Amino acid sequence: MHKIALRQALAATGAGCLLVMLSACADHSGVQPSTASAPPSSSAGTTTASPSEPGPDPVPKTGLTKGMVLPLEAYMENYSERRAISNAEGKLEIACMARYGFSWAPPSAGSPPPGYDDANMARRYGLSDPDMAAKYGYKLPDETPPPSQQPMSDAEIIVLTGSLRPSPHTVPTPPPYHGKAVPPGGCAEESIRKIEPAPRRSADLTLPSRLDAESLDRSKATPVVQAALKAWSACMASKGYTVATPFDAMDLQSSPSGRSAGGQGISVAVADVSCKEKTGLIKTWFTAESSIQQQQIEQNQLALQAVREQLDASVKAAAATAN
Amino acid sequence: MMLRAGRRSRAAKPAVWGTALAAGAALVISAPQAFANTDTVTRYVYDNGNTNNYIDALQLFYNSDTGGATAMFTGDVNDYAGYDDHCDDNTVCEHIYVFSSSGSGAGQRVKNNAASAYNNSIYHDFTVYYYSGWTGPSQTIPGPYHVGNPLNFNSTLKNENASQKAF
Repeated sequence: MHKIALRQALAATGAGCLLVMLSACADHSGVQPSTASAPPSSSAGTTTASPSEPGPDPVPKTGLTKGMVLPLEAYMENYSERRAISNAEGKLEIACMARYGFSWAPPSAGSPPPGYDDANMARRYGLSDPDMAAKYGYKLPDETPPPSQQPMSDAEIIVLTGSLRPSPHTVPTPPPYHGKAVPPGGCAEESIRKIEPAPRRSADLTLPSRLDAESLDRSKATPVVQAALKAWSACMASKGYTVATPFDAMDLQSSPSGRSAGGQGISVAVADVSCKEKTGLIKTWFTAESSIQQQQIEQNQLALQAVREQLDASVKAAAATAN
Repeated sequence: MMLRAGRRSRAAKPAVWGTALAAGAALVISAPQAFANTDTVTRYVYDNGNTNNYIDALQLFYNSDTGGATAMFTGDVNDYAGYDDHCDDNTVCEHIYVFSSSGSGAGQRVKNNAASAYNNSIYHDFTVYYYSGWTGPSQTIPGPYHVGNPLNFNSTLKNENASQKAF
């Protein structure tokens, strides 16, 4: 099965099949297609963003991370799922606002992030695509600021959000609008609760990305990755750059905080990716991480399953709203 | 309001400045020191501009559970360290992001110092990255407008947060 299909199947069938498929995941090198089979997708998880919305590839198609998927990614909310949920909530918000006479609509999404999920495979180990490095340096292909909201009246903001200033600690209770009760937290909260029912976030949705970040740190400390990092650093030194890890490479540009894709930024980026290719750093690192993540999944199976089930439920509710 | 005062050399960066900043202080504060080198002006800022509309920003906090001093960023930020631009032909303006208003951590640099975040945006999702330039693992802080849902950075991201993407 192709990795993309595998990922879709994983997302579609939830944690149940993951138990079955762990062994199949266990021996992958990151670039070998898995031979595992999965039940046909029939439920949540397959809903995607609108076809008109460009998004990151579920599995990198180019560069040194091509074909690489980390085991924990199956439990993470991915870009397609997030957009599906956001779009559904936006649709409900529009309808809710219309009940109060407002023709409000959310702005369209900004340019997509480089990674499909919190693992951020395309830039997880720093830059990984030689063509992108040569073209954009450390910048993103599209750094257009996200569309901003059209100006809103105070009344509009209050009906939408429940208050003029959002609070991280309370769901505000807004006053009636023209005699009509406004739901707690406004139309936004009402819409979110329909897609992500209360108690929202009963599962620890940050668990997959927390484990994923830990795996980067743990793998970085392994002798094999340390050796690969030293080789990469030596390669960079041979090109005139003194730098210990790929995450420090962009600081080699001309100023401590100013970033530019011109001049040296491109040169450093090209050297960075070239040295990764020459030393096999990314493949070494990815292999070490894959092994660690399989252990993490075994140790956190139930909690991770709960996360995936909650995400699947939200995506399913989003799909129902879209139809 | 903008206070422009100091011209200084790069060699003498104060690690902490503005610990006495009051709530509601100016958005842009310049280093009040004068040095021999006159090619750089440093400004300490606690947002990246355009945050008048607070319903479209990611708010970072120095402490967990949205406590302590705060900073706000809209859109994409490729490095929470800050950015440079040119004040004029001969002067570089170095902007350094710090936590401001009141509370613990006021004046501390934002990069790698935020412990929690709150998505103030009613429509945008944000992803915060471990390292600068949208690299390394990340944590997405979903919108729209998760009222009553402050989000602590996960334990590893707590002291490793370096860039953000809005989408």
